Amino acid sequence: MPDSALLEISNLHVTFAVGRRRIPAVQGVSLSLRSGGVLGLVGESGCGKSVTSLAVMALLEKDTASVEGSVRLEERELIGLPYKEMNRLRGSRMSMVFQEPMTCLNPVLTIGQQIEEVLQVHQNLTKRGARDLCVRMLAKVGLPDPERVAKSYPHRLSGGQRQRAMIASALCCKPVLLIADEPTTALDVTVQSQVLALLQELQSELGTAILFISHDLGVIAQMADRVAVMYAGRVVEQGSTAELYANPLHPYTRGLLASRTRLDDLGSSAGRRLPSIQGNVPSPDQLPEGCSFGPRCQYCDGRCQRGMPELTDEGEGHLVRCIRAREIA
Amino acid sequence: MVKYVLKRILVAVPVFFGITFCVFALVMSMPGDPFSGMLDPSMTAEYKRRLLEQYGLNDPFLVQYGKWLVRVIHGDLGYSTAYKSRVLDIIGARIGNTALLGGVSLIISTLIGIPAGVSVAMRRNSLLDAGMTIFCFFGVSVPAFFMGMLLILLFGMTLKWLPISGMVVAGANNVGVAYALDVARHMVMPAIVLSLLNVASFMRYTRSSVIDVLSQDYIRTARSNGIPRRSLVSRHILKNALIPIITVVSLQIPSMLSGALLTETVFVWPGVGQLNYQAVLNRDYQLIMGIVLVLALVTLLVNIIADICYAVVDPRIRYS
Repeated sequence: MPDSALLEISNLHVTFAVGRRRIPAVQGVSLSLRSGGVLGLVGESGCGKSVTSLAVMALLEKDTASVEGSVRLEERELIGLPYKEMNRLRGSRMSMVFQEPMTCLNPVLTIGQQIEEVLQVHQNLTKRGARDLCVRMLAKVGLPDPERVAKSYPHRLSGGQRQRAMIASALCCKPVLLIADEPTTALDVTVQSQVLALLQELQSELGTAILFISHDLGVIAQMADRVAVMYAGRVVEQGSTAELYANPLHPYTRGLLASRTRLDDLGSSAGRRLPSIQGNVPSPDQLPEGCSFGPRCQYCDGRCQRGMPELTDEGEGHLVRCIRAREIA
Repeated sequence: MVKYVLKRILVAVPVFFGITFCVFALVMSMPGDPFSGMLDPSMTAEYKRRLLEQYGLNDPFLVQYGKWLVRVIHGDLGYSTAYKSRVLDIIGARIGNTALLGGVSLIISTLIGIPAGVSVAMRRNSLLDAGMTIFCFFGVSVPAFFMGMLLILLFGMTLKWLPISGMVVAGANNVGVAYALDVARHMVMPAIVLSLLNVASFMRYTRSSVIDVLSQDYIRTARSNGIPRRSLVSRHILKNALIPIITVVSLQIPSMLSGALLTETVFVWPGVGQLNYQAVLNRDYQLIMGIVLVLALVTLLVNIIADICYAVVDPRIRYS
């Protein structure tokens, strides 16, 4: 791990209280993201990716979710930070782009009103100055006729345009950290690649670090320099993108990589079933004994059921949570 | 926007004729006639038939409705058989009193109900929320006449703080500020009774509307951008939550005019609600139709205003 991490999440636990039951959604996640880097967070639905990101932004409901552990942004502890101070960081030092551009913009405020408010809250700007900066930002995210867009209500824009506007609002104060939670999942494939290209371009221009959440390994490979794979609330494998894709160690990662579709496969393997991981992610309140991936793992044996394996370093920062990783590699 | 408003007004015209037609039909199908209660019982059937004939009450239904409509278009609402006076004058003398009481209650209940609803929604499941929920059930469950009598007993009879009936002290002949104060003192109790139900229902509707908005993705976006709480509530939440609230408030306005009947009766407030009740008892066809006409106009007007408010608040309605 680099010493001067921009975002350092250590031993993060998130537990939801539903009635009398307590449901552990995130269990001891540790991640670190260097300044200007892109960390990909992969996993199936329900594995705790989004909850982790919402915990970082302190966006979980306080009365139902309890967050423990440590989240440090620029060496400042965020867990337990008072609401007002957290608000000073949110939108200015760190911000977030969500999955659903259709519902994530306020329908009764214009795009301009929404972005200008963020600018005015965090920067000492006049109304005029905020307006100018907003229009420039909208131009920067590639929206044609930014003056008109600023005066438009969200329902007048397409999905791709809304996501561009979301990105403009998230990056308008030049944050050091952007959390992108499945930012392209809800978009058409062609728009998807445009938005990814835009994020990459802005990332290299502004030097913003990105925590990029996706279930799409192709997208992660394109965006991230490091990848963490999550399963049932825990990180099961972590490493540099190149290393992890070339040499996956955890059976879950291998399964995910095997179940991708590839254009060059289609000819030779036509008619063959796409490999998939059997079963579903277990619900967080019904985790199996031992390794939580055990019931779905083809390599699982008696030793795996004795307890949750530790995350161990297999060399050069390639971490894996599997006791048989070396045997099956 | 102008086109939108014009369209709403045009739609209101056939609705207006529909309402008057239906009510006219209902009024005419009531048993009895305007003269059965007021004339000498020894009156001959022949004389009564002549009277009915003279007032056009034996004409076919459609002819009667047509005649009424023609008179209304000329600004003549007819003549009240019971009050021996022009319907327009009777209603005119009373509508102001009802509007005053209803308007004050509406302002009070909006000013209390909506902010209270927002604040309990923001503190959902707290002790305050639970307390207010109980209050709201109380508010909508206690009948207006019972609440009115309780207040009269407490403030009028036991504590002797407030006058128990009427609009002014009889024979006081106050003018200016003294008159206004006199009316205000008489209005306290009926206004409380009328407001109680509305505060409760406005609060409940606001609460659920705000809670619904709170769970929307765009509120999470606003929070992720560090929007301060004050602006979060007033700009991001309230403007969205307002749409269903406009509906509820606009539905309450006509019912405050017509439904104030019990409150007006208990406190002997000389308003339209009380008049309406008397008119029905007297089979005073012209007066009933006059009141219905006024109420229908108010209802339609309020609906048009509500439609305009929707468009002001929600751009999706404005542009569609």
